[in-house]
Amino acid sequence: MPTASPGAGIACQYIAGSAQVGELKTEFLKGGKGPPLLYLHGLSRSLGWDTDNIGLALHRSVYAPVLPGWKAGRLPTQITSLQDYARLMLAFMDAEKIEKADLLGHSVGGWIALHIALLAPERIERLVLVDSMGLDGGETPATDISQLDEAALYSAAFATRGVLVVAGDFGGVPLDLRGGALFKHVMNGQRNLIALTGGKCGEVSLMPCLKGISAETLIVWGESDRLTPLDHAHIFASHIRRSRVAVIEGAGHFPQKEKPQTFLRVVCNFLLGRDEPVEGVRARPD
Amino acid sequence: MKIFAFEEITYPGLPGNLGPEVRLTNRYCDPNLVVQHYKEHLEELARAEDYGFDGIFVNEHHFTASNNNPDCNLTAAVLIDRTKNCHIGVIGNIIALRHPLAVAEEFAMLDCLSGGRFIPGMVRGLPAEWVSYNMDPFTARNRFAEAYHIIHQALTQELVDYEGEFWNISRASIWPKPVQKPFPPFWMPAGSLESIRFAAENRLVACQTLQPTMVLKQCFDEYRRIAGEELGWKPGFNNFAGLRFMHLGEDHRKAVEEGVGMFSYLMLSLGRPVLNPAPLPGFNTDQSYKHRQANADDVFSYGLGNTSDAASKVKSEPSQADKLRNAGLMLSGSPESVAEWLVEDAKTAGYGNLIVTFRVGNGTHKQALKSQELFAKHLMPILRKVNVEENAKASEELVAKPLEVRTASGQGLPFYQDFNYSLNRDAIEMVGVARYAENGRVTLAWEMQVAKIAEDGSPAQIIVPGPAPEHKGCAIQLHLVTKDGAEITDDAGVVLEASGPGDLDKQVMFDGGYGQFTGAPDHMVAAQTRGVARNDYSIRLSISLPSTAAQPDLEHEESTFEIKCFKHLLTLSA
Repeated sequence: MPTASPGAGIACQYIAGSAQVGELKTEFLKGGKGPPLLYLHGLSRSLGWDTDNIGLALHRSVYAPVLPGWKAGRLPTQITSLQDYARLMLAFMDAEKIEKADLLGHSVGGWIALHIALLAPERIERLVLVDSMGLDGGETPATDISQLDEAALYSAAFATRGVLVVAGDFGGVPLDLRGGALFKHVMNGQRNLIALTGGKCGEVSLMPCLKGISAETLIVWGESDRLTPLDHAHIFASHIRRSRVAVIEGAGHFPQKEKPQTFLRVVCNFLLGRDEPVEGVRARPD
Repeated sequence: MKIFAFEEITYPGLPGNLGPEVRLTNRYCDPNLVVQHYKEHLEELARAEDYGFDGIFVNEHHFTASNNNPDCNLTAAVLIDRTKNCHIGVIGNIIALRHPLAVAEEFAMLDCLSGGRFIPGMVRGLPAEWVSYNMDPFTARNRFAEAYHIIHQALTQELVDYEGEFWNISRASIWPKPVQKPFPPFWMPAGSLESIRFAAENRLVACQTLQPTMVLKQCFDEYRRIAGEELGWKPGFNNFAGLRFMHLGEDHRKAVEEGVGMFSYLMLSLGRPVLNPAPLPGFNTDQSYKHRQANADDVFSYGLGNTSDAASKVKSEPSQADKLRNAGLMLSGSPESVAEWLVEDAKTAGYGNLIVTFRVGNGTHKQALKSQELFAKHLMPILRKVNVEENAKASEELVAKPLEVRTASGQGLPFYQDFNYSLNRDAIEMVGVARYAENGRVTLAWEMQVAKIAEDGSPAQIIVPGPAPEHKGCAIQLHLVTKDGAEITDDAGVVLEASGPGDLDKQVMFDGGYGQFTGAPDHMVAAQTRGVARNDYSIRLSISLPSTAAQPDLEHEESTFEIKCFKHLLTLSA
């Protein structure tokens, strides 16, 4: 596994493309260099080549598709389930001639990633689940997102109250999560998920299948996530054979936005096979 | 307070109608404008000495119109030549992106060229610079730290040995070495917790700019806390520097208006984040700005990351000058209007070094000269009285750790480190073991021979360095056992000597007892005098004991010696 980065200049360059997959056109961003990584967004679609894309692209050719329908807020008629999205993403890989890839899925994207890993385990190199939806029933009932108004959705999604200072180009940059584009798109994503599942963030039938996932898996979780609570991370870990959990302190449902530096360090270490402790991360045994 | 002049050499000829999609490549650079611009900036900076500034700083940025000074060591050299007494500093070199020894050499040159007026400084560089250099930003902090330690060693020690993640240096010794002894502390920007800690640990001067007063205070307070609570030393005002952009004019309203325009242009010239579409990861951690959480409503609400937005906001919003000032971005107006804010800024943040830039953005040469003159006349006398170091001790603590004081006894001195050869049982000079008996004593010796001069006439020498002010001589390690493997007694005599053909030019480099070896760490002692074994010379390491004592077995595998010396091969054709 190569560990040398191709450099920030390469990682910052990206293209916006689209692939015709069956009857559906899939828009995507692509950048970086190295083995392919498919990055499936969550409630909020990708807002551009952001810090998390750049960080991953320092070591991978990152493909960040926008789930068809997610941009317009209207699901295509061909999509009636999460499994439909999973099949579409596999077809997207075919269209882009990606035989095998690392797969990173956040939130809804994690749920889709789980189905991909079950449908075509041979095509997944490593799997990263970030605050993944998907579980329901028993000790881990799924949140019904249709019951959350704007304030409740914000409160469930983010650990940060008020303004967050993140590392920027000229030192610390204040970031207003509530007032920014990210949260607006989260609310759009809420509508999409309601259209798709009625608002349920998981399915009862998924848990028994998890033992079929063979890829080495990292389960990244914001410790204060209230959309997909931390308990779900440990249930995933207990069912996915080759998995481990990394809990990011001070983050909610979007650790890649609230703790981008920590998120990238922990994910890149996993992708590169490096076993280095990262400050602000609690590890749990396999 | 000490006061320094500073300027970004911002390219003056950018068209004002560029959209954010346009990347500022050098297509927009007219070098003839730069020729004139260099002359003006250097004149403005050099004039600071006439006005009584303590010094002049220059900095570097790369791949940007905002500062056409990609090698500030060059402009520092010019300024050194144009001034006589004031300090000339750089703040600074992007040390992680250059070979650290090259930086050290240039710093030493600048110090010598200036007769000891140089102030060293360093930065990690802007993320956009790491993009164009195509480096991994996750390595930035460690590269920076390694580079600093190498540069500092090179400037303060005779030899540099360093083994790191990014650099391996072996016994380099730079020429020239700096005049200033001790070498002054480096200056560096320190805004993140990690940088603040690094600065405090190395007793550096921490700088901050383009931030509100409270951010400077938080950064410097954290430095003071780390130094006091964790490192046991008390920083003085001189450990901190604030840099402020300024435009002064006699007509207050006009100066305010001009200052806002100048700063808008500076934002424009910073370039657009085309190659760096979002904040670059890796430079910092999510813990880096813990000290800033309570103070997020600062400068960057202006959108420094998006210059076109920043420029438009600057033009359109009311009271923009006040916002710019309170954000710590730009002070403009009459001298009186600026003085009060600046005094409060320095007192609140607690810095004892003020760096001021008078030519901002597209400000003109004439405006900069006038602004500088007004500052010197009206503000400098006031600011001089602020944050004066109360005692010299704090200032003394500022200096970089001096070289160890060398004493004639050699105590505390290191062994000679510049060895390039080891004489030992396997050396090609080894001839064999000799045994002599005389006057009731037995002497056993390892006999060595320096080769005859080579066929091509190249001479060789083996030099055994003796004590010098900087070291106690080369290391001689000796371990001796009897044929039974027992260590011999301490009273055995040990002699290291060399002599030329016919036993001429005899030199004794060590004459003592074996007990000196057994009493020393690693059985290692220093040569007592220098010796030079030339071609065809013999070298002998002998051990003598009464014939009744247990004799060392020099053939035993545990009987070993090592002389860390210097072998000099001169190739005449080279």
